[in-house]
Amino acid sequence: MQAYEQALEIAITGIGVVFLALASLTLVTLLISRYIKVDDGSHVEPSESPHNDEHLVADFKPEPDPMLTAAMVAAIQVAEGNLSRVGGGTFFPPNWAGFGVWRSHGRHLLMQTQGLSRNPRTVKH
Amino acid sequence: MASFWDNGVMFLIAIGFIYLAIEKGFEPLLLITIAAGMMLANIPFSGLAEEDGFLVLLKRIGLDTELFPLLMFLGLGALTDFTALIQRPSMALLGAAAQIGIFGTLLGAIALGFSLENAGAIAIIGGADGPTAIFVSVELAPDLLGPIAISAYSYMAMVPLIQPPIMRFLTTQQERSVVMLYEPKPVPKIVRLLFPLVILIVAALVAPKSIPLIGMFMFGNLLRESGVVDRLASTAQNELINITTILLGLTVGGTMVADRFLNPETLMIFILGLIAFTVATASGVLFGKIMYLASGRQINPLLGAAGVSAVPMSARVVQKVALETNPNNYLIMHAMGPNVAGVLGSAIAAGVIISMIN
Repeated sequence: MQAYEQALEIAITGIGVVFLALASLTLVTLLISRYIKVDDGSHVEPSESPHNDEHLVADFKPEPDPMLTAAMVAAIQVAEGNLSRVGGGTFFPPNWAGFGVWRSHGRHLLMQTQGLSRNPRTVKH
Repeated sequence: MASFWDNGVMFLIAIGFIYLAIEKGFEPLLLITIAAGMMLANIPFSGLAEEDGFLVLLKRIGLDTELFPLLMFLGLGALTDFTALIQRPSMALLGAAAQIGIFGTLLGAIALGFSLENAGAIAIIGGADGPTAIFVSVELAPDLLGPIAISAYSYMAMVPLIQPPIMRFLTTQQERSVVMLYEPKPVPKIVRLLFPLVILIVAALVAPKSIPLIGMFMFGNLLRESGVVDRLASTAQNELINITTILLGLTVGGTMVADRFLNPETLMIFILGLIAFTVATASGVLFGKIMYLASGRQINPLLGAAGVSAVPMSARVVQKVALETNPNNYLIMHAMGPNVAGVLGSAIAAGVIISMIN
């Protein structure tokens, strides 16, 4: 019985400590991210360290990028003449300045195929 | 001293592990090395597993000192990308919830008659982290190292079988179909560099005994994120972790001699390991449902299952189950947040268990 009581004490303490630690981490990360903004010239690229995840993630194949899917949906819509504000039916290369417009339209179309988005960050006011 | 037949049984079990690793793809990096150690340790009169034998020497150098699991954590830190967690820090709470499985298993192990030390070592299987399980086992219950390691790695490989039924059982169709669009937000380099330091400080304050694991993990991550020590980061990600895997597996397998492995305790450890994974998944998903409600139905509760720190397996399972309901619902990037948070959570839980039991 004593061992069980000790185990119960450890369990309650342990759960509390883990939640406290990760909640603190959440809070501090939110604060850091809020006060350190992205500048135009800041380093925002993903880590440049060599990536070799084969060792432990050999079976992990990244899923298709949904943003790329959205851009492709937009390209198809333009080719079919459904986006009158964007000229031409040619799919422009990704380094074209207007690619951001394509991605934005594609994203909205993707959202429409999934139903109205209830995420306030994607709703245009 | 084990009989010839006991040694023969261990040999057959080792062959079974090799079969699972090669044919079924069950964590081959560890199972093959562990199986090799098992075979060598159970050859009678070879002296490998006896005093001053090679396998015992490896154990003294790498396990008794905790060197091998800590080097593994260094390599894992160098491989881990915290971007998903930094972009959405609240996902860390799902990583915390999944660690309830550890403490539930602790109580279960006590109920089955294990001592507090043994129960603590068995419970950490629920953290779904091999090096952490080995670390705690060496500290609290070195005699149970073999079955605990095998149990942890085997169930990590079986996550795609264990988790989906639990996830479907605990969630409704409506909950599973919550769509979460991924909008990549740029993460400044300074934030990437501060993040491992913040984790280190938080862990030091709440669970100092977790610092060996967390410290090495964050050191590896710092090598990765600094961007100026590519050679060291590359070494940590590749050569170091590969060498350590070989030696760790061989050493763990070398502890699995017949008279320590072939007993009813081993079977109970495997059963408790399964319970640990089940409870961890369930607690993560249930907490996910709380977050689903608290967020106004914005968060898909399936993400809770990714808090089980079998990286990236459980994140892939979340993706797969979500796609069953809605083929356009890509949750993998959201799931990586709780997945890596689970690694931190299990290391902190390990620190708490060690400090309160020792």
